Amino acid sequence: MTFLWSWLRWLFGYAVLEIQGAYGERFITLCMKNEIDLWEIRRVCPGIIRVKTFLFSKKRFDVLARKSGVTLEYKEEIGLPVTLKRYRLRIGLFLGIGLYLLLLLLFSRIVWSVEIPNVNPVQEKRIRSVLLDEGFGIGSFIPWVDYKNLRYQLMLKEDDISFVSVNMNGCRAMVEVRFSETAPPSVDDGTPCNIVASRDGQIVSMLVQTGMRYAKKGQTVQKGDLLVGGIMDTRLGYYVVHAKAKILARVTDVQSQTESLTRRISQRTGRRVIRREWRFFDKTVNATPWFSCPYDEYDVVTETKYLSFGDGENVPIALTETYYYETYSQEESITPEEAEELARARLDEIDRLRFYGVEVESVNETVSVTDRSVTVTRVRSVITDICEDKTFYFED
Amino acid sequence: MKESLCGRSELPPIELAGNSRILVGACDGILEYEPETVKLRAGKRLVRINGRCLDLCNLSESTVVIRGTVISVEFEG
Repeated sequence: MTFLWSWLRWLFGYAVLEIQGAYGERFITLCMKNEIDLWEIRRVCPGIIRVKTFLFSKKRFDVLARKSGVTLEYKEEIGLPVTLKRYRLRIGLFLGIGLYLLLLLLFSRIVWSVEIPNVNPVQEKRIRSVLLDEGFGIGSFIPWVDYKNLRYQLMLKEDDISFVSVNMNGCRAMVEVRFSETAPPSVDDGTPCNIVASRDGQIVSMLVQTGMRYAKKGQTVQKGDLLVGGIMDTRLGYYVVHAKAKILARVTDVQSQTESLTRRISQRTGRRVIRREWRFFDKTVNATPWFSCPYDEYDVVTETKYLSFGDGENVPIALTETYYYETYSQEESITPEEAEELARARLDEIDRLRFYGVEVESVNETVSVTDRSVTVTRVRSVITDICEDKTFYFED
Repeated sequence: MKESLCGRSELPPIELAGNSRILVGACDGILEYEPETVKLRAGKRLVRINGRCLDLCNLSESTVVIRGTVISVEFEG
């Protein structure tokens, strides 16, 4: 309450006034009768009483002072009206305050960030793309956002979305999305088909569920050989089925990797040029329009620095600096051992994906070295499924 | 008894918060103000407040708030 009074007094402005004369009490009584607010009334010395009063009561004091036979001296004037009067000629100051208030009003009606929680990066990218197509993103003017249309468009354009809500939390947009569970792909059991070998190999196990068996365990087959037939021959006649089986075979897999004994390496000379761009919400302003990269060979490194508050909250104003480092290339020769290691590492990387979940029986590795390169060849014996459906047309 | 009751009803409302703050209502005017004494008119009565470092911290149309060390309150008339 005290704070509120102090603030109100400052807002309306108040004066420190000295009442000089023998009849100060009479003046104070007259002020009371005329409903003039006085506070902090203190006798500073005999014959002088110091009071505080509102500036808007000042006009009425002359008459009251005359009636009570005292003289008044204004010691100080404090408050907003006094400050405004003091700075009334400083147009720039008032323009600055006006501009500040305008920007404050404008920026509080702009989307500063769009958050899409509980989705993976791929889904997030898709959703952001649809939102941007509909004109919604960082920098959008909040009063113009059509939330209903955004929801409809997201549901229409993304088939797997079952629920969308777009809410504004201040200047932060929260897009909540629920994805529908997709049904597993249906298995086509109705189309007549044979099963043939997808690659050369020796059958190690054979489990036929439907169809006529045309191969047996231990048999060597070539790519395209019929393993299980879809035409069933019974005493009652022929009928066709969708052949189903799991046939594992021992197959040979050959993989090789060649590495050159020379390689080109790129090194920085130490010189660089910088291109700068300012980003305000979704608008980009090139700060170096005269920029052109003077180097033939260069590395590019981009750094984006966002303005942020103390707690790490980013403001959608950023400076993007793109560094162009000048480079030069040179040939470097490596030893055959280093090349072999390099080839092996690359083969390991490929094999990790190719043979994931596949039983490998044995691996033979050969290395061949020439004047210019090293080749590592891996021959593997693996057990894998060689079934391949082959549909056929059947006419009664 | 009757006089006594009538007498009480003419007294101004006074609130005392410890001895540091005193509020006097139905005040018609300030007759004397010194740091050691404040004399007020309240209807037909005169109220004298004695103390030390007395300030009139707030004045409204009929209420006076006095701050300082109040030693005694006297009624006259």
